[in-house]
Amino acid sequence: MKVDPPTAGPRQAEFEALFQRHSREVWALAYARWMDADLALDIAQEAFMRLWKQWEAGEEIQNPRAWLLRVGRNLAEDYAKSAFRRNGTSPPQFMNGVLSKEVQPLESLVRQESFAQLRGILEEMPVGDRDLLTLRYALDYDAQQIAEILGINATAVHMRLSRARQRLADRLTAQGVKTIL
Amino acid sequence: MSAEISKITEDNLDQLLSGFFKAALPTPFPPARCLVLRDEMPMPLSAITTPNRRALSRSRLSLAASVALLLGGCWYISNQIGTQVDRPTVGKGEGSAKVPKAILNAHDAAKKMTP
Repeated sequence: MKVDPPTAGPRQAEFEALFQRHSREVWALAYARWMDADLALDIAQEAFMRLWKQWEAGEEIQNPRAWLLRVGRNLAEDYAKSAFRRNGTSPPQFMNGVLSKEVQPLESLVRQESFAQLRGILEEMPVGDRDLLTLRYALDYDAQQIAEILGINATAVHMRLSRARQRLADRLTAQGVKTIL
Repeated sequence: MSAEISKITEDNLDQLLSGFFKAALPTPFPPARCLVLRDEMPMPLSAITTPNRRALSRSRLSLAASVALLLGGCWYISNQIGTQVDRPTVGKGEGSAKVPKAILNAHDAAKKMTP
């Protein structure tokens, strides 16, 4: 269905409202896929850019949230096939062992070490579990909200979250992470 | 598992996960890039990011015209060369060459002188 292209006014306000409400959700799903915050931000921006272009072309989108989440997921999947991924720079976790010239407080170092261990474990987990954990802990979403985004029921969210957390706790304990700063 | 390693608590895990994911989440979340671009550039975003349809058809037309011109040129030149080959060439056939008058006169003079 063709609609009027967006102009400065109500359509732009609608777009800004959509961005405010859903940009973090698109980011969260892209982040869960690749565990790369900058890449996830690029994917979220690209998804919204495509929405804007659809509107400019006069296309009507019935459910912008679902559309954005689907485009975000597809973009994240496409990234696996892109030349940049094959030939691009090293992911940030490869820089974990490189020491900064700045002297860092011990607290920050311990925290970074815990995060690096946690990242390693998260990377080995299924993407579905990472989706749940990212939405739960980055966005503070409850089971109902997560269920809406992922298209599953809230009971399944509870169950899968609980299992994922248990697996994480076991792995972290095995690696000697016991105090969290 | 070593005995000195204590089991991680639920609260600790929540704290760790929350800290980890919130550290990754850009804060504040940057504004929509397309709106920033739109404010900076007066033309529609699609005009910047996707080629104009009219410009695309114009470039296709000029490409077709150049190819046609090239083929036509080749055809014309090959025809020209063909006709040049068919035409009798000057000086190749027997007796077709023009002998300069001075030589002819000298030749005639020499004939007269001989008995």
